[in-house]
Amino acid sequence: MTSPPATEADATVAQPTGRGTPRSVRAALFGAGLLFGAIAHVDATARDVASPAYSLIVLAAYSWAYLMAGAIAWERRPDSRVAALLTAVGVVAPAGHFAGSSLPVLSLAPWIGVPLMNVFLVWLILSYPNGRLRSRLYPLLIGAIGLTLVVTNVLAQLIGPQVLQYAAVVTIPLALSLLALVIHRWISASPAARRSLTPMVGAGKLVAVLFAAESLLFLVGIQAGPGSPLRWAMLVARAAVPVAFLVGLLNQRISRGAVAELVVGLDASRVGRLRESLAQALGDPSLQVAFWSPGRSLYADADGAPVDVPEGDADRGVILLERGGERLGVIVHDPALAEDPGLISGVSAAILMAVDIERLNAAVRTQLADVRASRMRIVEAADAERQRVERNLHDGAQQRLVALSLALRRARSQLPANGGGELEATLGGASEQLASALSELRDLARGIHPAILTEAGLGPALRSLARESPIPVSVTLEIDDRLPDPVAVAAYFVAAEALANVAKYSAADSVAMSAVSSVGSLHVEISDDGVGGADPGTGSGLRGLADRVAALGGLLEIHSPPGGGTRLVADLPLEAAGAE
Amino acid sequence: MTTRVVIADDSLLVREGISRVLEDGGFEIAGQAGDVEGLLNLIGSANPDVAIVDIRMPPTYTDEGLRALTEIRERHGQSMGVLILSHHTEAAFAMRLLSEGSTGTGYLLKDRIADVEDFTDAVRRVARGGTVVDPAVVGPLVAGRPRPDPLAELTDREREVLALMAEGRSNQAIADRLFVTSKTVEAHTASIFSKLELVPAADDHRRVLAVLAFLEG
Repeated sequence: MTSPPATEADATVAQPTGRGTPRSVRAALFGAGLLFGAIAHVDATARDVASPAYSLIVLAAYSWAYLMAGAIAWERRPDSRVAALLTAVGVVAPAGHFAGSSLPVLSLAPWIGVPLMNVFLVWLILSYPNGRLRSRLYPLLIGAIGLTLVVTNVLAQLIGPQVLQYAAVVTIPLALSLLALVIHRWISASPAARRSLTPMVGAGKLVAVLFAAESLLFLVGIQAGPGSPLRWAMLVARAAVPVAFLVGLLNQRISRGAVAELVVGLDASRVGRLRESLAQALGDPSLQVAFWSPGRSLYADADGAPVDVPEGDADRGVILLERGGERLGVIVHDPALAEDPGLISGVSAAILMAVDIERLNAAVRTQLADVRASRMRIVEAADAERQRVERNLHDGAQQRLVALSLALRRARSQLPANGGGELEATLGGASEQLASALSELRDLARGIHPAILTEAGLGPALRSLARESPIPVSVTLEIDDRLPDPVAVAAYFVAAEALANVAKYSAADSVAMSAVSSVGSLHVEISDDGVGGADPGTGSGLRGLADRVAALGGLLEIHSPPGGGTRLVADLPLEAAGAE
Repeated sequence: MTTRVVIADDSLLVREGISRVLEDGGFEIAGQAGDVEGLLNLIGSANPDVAIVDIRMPPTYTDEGLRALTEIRERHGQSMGVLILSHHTEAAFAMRLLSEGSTGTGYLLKDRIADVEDFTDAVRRVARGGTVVDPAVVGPLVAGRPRPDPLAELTDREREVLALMAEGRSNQAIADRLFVTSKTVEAHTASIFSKLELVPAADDHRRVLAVLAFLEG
């Protein structure tokens, strides 16, 4: 299959490109707007057409707020058309101040400036947030509004303000059309797009309604002068547009924050629910996350169901996730999300991280299983080897020693009845030493592998251990007959080592040994009333036992406070540890 | 009439050694075998009074001797004595042997064959239908045990008698050993059974099993 068209092609999602308005141009426009405003302010206050305070308020709402919002938008995305429109509104807005100016050149400014400002404003409202106009209807409306304003302004200057009254017949439908388009945009927008759209739609509705209201007043012959409630409302509506832009920006920031939170909280348990988390964080219920399945050569979601990746579909955004040229997955999303590249790169990073976590988890799980299995095999191999050595001791050395002792006896019996003397004493001594050697060999063999375990099971084996202890041992046994061999062997060696340590170090008067099997595990406990203070870290015997117990997936604990006796506890799962 | 013996042990050296010792002791060696199969064939043809069987033989070297015992009892009934030689001092092995439910059974530590008198005595007792358990197996059972222990209530002499009972000695044999009358031994055993709350057993073999079971418990 061919790769679908992608907005971004790698984990390192591209930052906004260098294309766009250069910083110097942006700074120049910003400065020009401020300068134009300052001149307008000076001119208007000098002519006494507005109080300095009112003039400044108008400038702030019509010009400065737009210039600031434009600067912020451009800083985020130098190629943003929305930023250009915001700035354009801010630059031309002071033109309205020059109405009736004594300077002939400046008095013409409102004729062009005011319609231009409104064109930019409507364009901005209709093209937010990506700067694109969705259908032909939009530029048509913008053009109609611009033309109407220029014509009515010129006619009003030439003929008189009564022109405005007649123009209302045209401007009211235009304002209502604007209102309808704005509302339609919101209704037809996807949930993801609505997030950033909502504040601007609110401001747009306000602007359109006030346009209509102003025209309506013209129609009935009332001209709302400076300081009138309608003027104030229009001031608020104008200022609401850049504010709406900033709120939309903040919403995207919140989305980013949600993604960041998602990344921070990302762990193995949430990888499976990644799609839901992301859809929620981004406000895009249609969002799909799919992972590339090399075996099946298709994209599949977390449940393994194939996911259709759209190709060249303008209604769906596609982000390919790749690492080091390797195809990992894909995000199919609402194109509205692409308005904030930072958001997309955050999401991509989150998913790549999730994929990495999942892969690492899987790798660790596999390795852990391997290590457990190999540890188990090592213990089993060691046990098998012990059994072999024990057998060899019995069937090799011990048999020979027994035969040898028989030969010695026979040699003694062949001595002359009266005169064995020194030779008989020597042979007798040799026989006794041989008997001790056999006894020691037997103990050694049993220490290597206790035959009684396989012969009679753990219970008799533990009782036998208890009987050999020089310190009296009380035994409590509630053992399942069919313990797995490795568990029985481990329990036996734990008990043997514990009892040996008690005899060597504890100075105890008595020992209690218990082995109780319950569902799924065997609990072995050996506690004495001795001096305590045993350090589990020292002594290879205990450490070796801990390893053996751990190989079975069990736990060996030693409680030995100084003066408080020693308690050794082993919990051994009956299910083989390597079996998972 | 001499006691006819067959020997089963995978070590030729040991077989030969045992043969010599028993021949010197006046036994007749009816044959030798290196594994269970050979032993069973030998018993079928030679019809011996007693078989001396190593507990570990090919192929697994674990408890072939005990399996052979079961087979012998099935084929030849209780008439024949079987003496198992073992490396294990744990009572559990002896218990399994005795629980085959038969007289004429013995469990002896292999080292014991070098003590010619003890060994030949054991062979004779088993051949006569007696029960034999090695003192090395009984010893740890009677010695140091956790308190509270019913054994602690026994006198030293009673404990001595108990050990001899567990080894499979009859009252008469115990009396001979301790230089007392058989009546005295009976008094001791009655006292022991009462103190240990055991039901007096009908014969020596069951008495051994009961005592071992008590001690092992």
